[in-house]
Amino acid sequence: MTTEVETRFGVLDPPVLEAYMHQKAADLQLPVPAAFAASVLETLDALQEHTAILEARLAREDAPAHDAAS
Amino acid sequence: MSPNDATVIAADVKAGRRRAQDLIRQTLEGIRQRDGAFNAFTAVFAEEAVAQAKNLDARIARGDAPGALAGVPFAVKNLFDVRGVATLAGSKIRRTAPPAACDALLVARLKAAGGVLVGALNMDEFAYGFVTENAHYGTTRNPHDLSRIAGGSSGGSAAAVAANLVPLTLGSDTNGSIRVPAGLCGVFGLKPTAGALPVEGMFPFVRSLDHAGLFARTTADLQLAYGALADAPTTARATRAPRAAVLQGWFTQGASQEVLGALDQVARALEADGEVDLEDAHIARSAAFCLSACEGGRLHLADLRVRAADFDPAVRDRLLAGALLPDRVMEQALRFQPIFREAATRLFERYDLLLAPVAPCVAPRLGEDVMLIEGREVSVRKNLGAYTQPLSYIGLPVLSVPVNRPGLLPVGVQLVAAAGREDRLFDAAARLEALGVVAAHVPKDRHDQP
Repeated sequence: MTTEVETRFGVLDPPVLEAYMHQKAADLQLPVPAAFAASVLETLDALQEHTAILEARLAREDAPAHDAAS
Repeated sequence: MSPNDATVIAADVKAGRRRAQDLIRQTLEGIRQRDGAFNAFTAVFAEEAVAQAKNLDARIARGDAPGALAGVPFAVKNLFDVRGVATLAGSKIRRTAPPAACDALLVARLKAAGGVLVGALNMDEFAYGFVTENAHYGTTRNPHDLSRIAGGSSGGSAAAVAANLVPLTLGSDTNGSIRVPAGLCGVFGLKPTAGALPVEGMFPFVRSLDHAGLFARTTADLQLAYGALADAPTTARATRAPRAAVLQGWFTQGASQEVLGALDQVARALEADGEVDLEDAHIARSAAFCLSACEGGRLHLADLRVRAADFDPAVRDRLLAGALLPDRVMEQALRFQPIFREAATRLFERYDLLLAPVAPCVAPRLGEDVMLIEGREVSVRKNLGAYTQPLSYIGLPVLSVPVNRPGLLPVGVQLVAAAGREDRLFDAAARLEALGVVAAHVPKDRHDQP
């Protein structure tokens, strides 16, 4: 699950993001205690926004090459 | 010039007008009496400092050259290794770390130049923050208003200089951790070009972005210390008035009127002849955010697994979130660096200096999560570094200068130069100082003293 969802990190809906958080934490053997979970999720969501901004810009960077290829 | 300036101390000690050991005892007494109000220091190395000063006096008496910083007291952010002391990096976890086997390279270089290490300074845990409200070692207060933060993460380094406890401190800057506290505390702060100062013996936060740097109360002090520290101190010399431009767009968006007014003072004094946009600055900030979280989270993964509760809560949750980011985010954040660097390089073909505010506002009040800027509520922690992060992301040299605003809270302006052109920063700061446009703020409790 993690690998498939990871590719869409940046545009995950809140419930999917929460599921991603728990799965990724389990994969890393990194406990996220319930007391911290809401704050970690909020931070992860903010990082998701930054990721989306960055990826949109890099997609523009790649666009001319794609255009040329097509 | 003040008798407490590093340049004056070094000249006096070299000439035998003052003894290093007397100066160091006075400095230690000043810290003992006054630091309770600021909480800038987390450790004071009194015995070692007096011993080093006595040794220096003996060398001078023998006719040995004492070094460029003879007898100058200095202190360091507690992420720099000091031989025989555990390097805390603002954390509780590292209290039990083995003592450092040797001094960090920059600490050793300052000592070799005759500087005398008197203590270690408070910071945000693992340098991840802009406030120095540390859950383990307390809050560092702003010497100009004790109800306000000093900024961070090198808050202790800025406050110690602002309060006139020492003339010189070392700090680190990954996203703005020298420039933000320098600006909020009204002192000069230099974040040199990436790699210009070695980081050996400096506990890392984000290896791709970490810089070491300096705080002082005058440009001359900063330049003197930088000369003693740099691998290859800049040999270029600015020979004419700089061509300066003000960074618009992202770098003024959301700034308070008083910050914009201070920026205008500096721009007019330097006869800035343009307003320019550094394209994609907001994207660079996003990239720096992601990179910091990714690298920071991965660095602390082992401790996060077994003792997350021992981290400062304000830091822990960001490190946990960062550890959970996909690897590709880090790769993308690094991939954007040369693209953004190219945009900055194009601006430096037309200008020697770019100007921007350090922070959107004056120092927020202690414990404040949200601050009001021109009637709008914005997050303190998210916004203090908005104007600094894009610049450190590409390693440009930046000098934060304190705008001379007697009676008002400090505001800092960033002078930004092309990579390797620290000379342009020193030259512009010295010009502004000579014009009276920038000057270190004087703490209220020192106003009545000569």
